[in-house]
Amino acid sequence: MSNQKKRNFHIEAFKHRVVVDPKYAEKIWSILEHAIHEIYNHNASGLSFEELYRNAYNMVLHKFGEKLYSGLVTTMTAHLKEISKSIEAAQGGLFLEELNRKWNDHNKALQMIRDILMYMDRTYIPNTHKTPVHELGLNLWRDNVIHSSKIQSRLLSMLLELIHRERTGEVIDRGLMRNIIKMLMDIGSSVYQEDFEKPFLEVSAEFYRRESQKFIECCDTGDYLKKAEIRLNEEIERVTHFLDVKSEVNITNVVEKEMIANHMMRLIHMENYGLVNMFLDDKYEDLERMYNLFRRVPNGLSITRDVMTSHLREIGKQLVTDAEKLKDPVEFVQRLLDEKDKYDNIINQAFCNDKTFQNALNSSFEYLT
Amino acid sequence: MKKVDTVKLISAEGMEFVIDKEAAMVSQTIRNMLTSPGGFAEAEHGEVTFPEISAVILEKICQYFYWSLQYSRGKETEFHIEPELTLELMMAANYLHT
Repeated sequence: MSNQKKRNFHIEAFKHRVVVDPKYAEKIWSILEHAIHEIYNHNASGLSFEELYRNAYNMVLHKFGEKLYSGLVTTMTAHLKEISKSIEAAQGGLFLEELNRKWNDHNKALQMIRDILMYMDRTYIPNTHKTPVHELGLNLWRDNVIHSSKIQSRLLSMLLELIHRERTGEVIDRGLMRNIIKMLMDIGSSVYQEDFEKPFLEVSAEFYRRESQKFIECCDTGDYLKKAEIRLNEEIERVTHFLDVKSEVNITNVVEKEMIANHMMRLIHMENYGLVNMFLDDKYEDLERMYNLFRRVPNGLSITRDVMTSHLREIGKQLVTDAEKLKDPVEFVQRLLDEKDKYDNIINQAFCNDKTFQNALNSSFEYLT
Repeated sequence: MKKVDTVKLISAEGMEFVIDKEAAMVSQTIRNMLTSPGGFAEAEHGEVTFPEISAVILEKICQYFYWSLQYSRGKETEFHIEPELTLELMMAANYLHT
């Protein structure tokens, strides 16, 4: 009895293989192709997942995985080319919105397609070392949309323009920016870096070069440093809102170099407003700001320290010559201690109790005594 | 006793099996079917037809889902499979990614 059943099984399996011929594969593929069209046209509700999954399953099972995969590539590419055209056609400000909308559509479609082609993803693709469906979708998007000649440059220039507008005080749509930037990051960090971050940093350097030139002509050190600090914080805030967190260190380096490092000597030695004047006028807030900004650039603090040291020696010399004139040792010691106190306070409050400055201060006074 | 969280699995002959969603999602395929974005017909109506799976096999599969849930909760019993069902059952399991 059970033997007969087993024989039935063998016959059934044999029947399976006979059904499979290229026409069958064509038929299945056209069903799937049609489904992909419907998915891209937002018409998926009429489709049966099971039917599509089963068709994909059968294709792979009967060794037509190659046809399925290449068909997928062709169909998706064709759709993306069309999508590309509609994005290119968008006018002015709507360009980014259209791009964003199509990107969301594509992601949703991609997920659905990946779900119905899950069997291929699981079996055919690892065996042939081809790109999995999801990654394939991202790569095709990158190649056909982002890197399409008309879109690539327009995208970059729009992003840079919006950032420039924000720097000059306009309010921009940060949510939209965030989505677009995230799209670039999703496609690949090299895309983000090459297509956006590098040009962004170059343009930013140019911007801050011009801005710092403008400021240094018309502002005194205290005001200039205030402005520099504002810009620095602005850039950091911008990164947290819609750029990749890894960009923070890059953009802050740009600002630090252009606004601070390039003008450091001029700021310190500015007549009537430089570092020495800040010491003499007890400008704690300005000193603290200078300390915080200069510590960010190479040699910033060492130069500051050197200027402080030479200034202290000047004071010291002054005190000594005065004391000789007055012939009053108590007065001399008192004034010496007063000066030491004053600079102790400055280092404490404005310079974060920086030990290197403390040491410089102590050695200066030892030099005097 | 109609719990809202059930799905209906329909075999090739039209026999309907109503089981808990949790049990059905033991199958990765069914899980994808029900959680895929985009509103495929199955997710909308809560029922899935399997024209290539017979009722006998589908029934066994439903039993397997519940056994699997029990097993993962600690109740380690045996799952008995009649030998004549093995081939079709394995093909169905492959299909359903279970």
